[in-house]
Amino acid sequence: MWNSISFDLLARIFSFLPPDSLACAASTCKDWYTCTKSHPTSTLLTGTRGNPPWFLAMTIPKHHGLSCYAYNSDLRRWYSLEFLPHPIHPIAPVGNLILYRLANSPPLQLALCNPFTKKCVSLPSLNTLRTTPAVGVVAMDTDRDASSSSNFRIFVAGGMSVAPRGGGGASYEPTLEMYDSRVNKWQNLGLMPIEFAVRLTVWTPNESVYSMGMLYWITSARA
Amino acid sequence: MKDSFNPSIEPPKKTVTLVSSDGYDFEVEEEVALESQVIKDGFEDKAVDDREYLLFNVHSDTLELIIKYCEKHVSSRKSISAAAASSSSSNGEEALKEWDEHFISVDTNTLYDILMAADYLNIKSLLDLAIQKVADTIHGRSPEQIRKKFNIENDSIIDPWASE
Repeated sequence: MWNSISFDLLARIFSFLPPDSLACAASTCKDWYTCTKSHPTSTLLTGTRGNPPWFLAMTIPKHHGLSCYAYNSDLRRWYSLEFLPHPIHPIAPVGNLILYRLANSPPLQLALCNPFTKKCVSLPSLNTLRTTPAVGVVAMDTDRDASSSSNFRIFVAGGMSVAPRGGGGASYEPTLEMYDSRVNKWQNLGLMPIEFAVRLTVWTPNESVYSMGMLYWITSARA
Repeated sequence: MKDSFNPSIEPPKKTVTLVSSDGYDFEVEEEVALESQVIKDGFEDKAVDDREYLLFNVHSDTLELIIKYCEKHVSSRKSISAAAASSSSSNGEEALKEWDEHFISVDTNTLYDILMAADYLNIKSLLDLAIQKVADTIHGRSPEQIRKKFNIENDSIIDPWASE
């Protein structure tokens, strides 16, 4: 009944919803989801494409240890990330989602969550397991439709290789790989000079800036 | 307004017959039926003695509600404009809003029937009212709560961020 309602009517209903309610409505069933994608209204646009970046408040280790909050400046509301099953370190907002890494996994394991719908999903494992690499996100703007928040790339560079079993120390991992949301896969982008890997590993605050087609990381001055 | 000019010569009320999908006849005043844009559009083309409308998509239970809504709105509009003409104060608009609010406070199945009928008959104010009510019902609920409220099966194997 309600999931077979015409898209014109449904889109009119959705146009009255603020972005957080709309996100919940969209993940109710397939038809409603399809409607939000195929019948963008003004609210839908602010709900996905035009959603302002989340402002992330980090963990306070002394107290709960794992409390994370995200602020949405459009709705002027704080959203707790405590619905997540594992302790996390948030990395960056991606459209209306938040990219984070699992705090209890030494090799980097990335995941995304939607604070509106309280859903989360793990990204596939990296091709080369590594600890403490630099991570940067680039949102792709080629897609002009309302679903463009799902079109992004994540770059991972440097880090320490995972020590092989039965001896042998970990070494710097002088490679770069990229996750493309459209194919949901990691691909190797190639090697980098070892000193870059060292710099990206020793000090990796995950502070990166994407500007004019270049992704910049702050690195250590060492090495 | 022209009715209030000289009410004594008002002709007897004209009526039309609305037939529900399950075959019940509803005789209503012409102006009540004309709240529906669809009936209004077809009205001039019909012969005066053949003003019967078969509403294939509206069940008698729903039609009864729809007629109740239209009658209320026609009579309220008259009393509001009468109050305005005599420049006496009136809280007619406010009262009508409250009435609407009460009218649309129904279970989701009935709300669905009203929404569909208002869309089919093209009764703009009722359609707006029903749409707003559905939006209000969705608002603030989690996906699971929405499914439960509207009795929607969870067929969403898709992730909101998965690319098709």
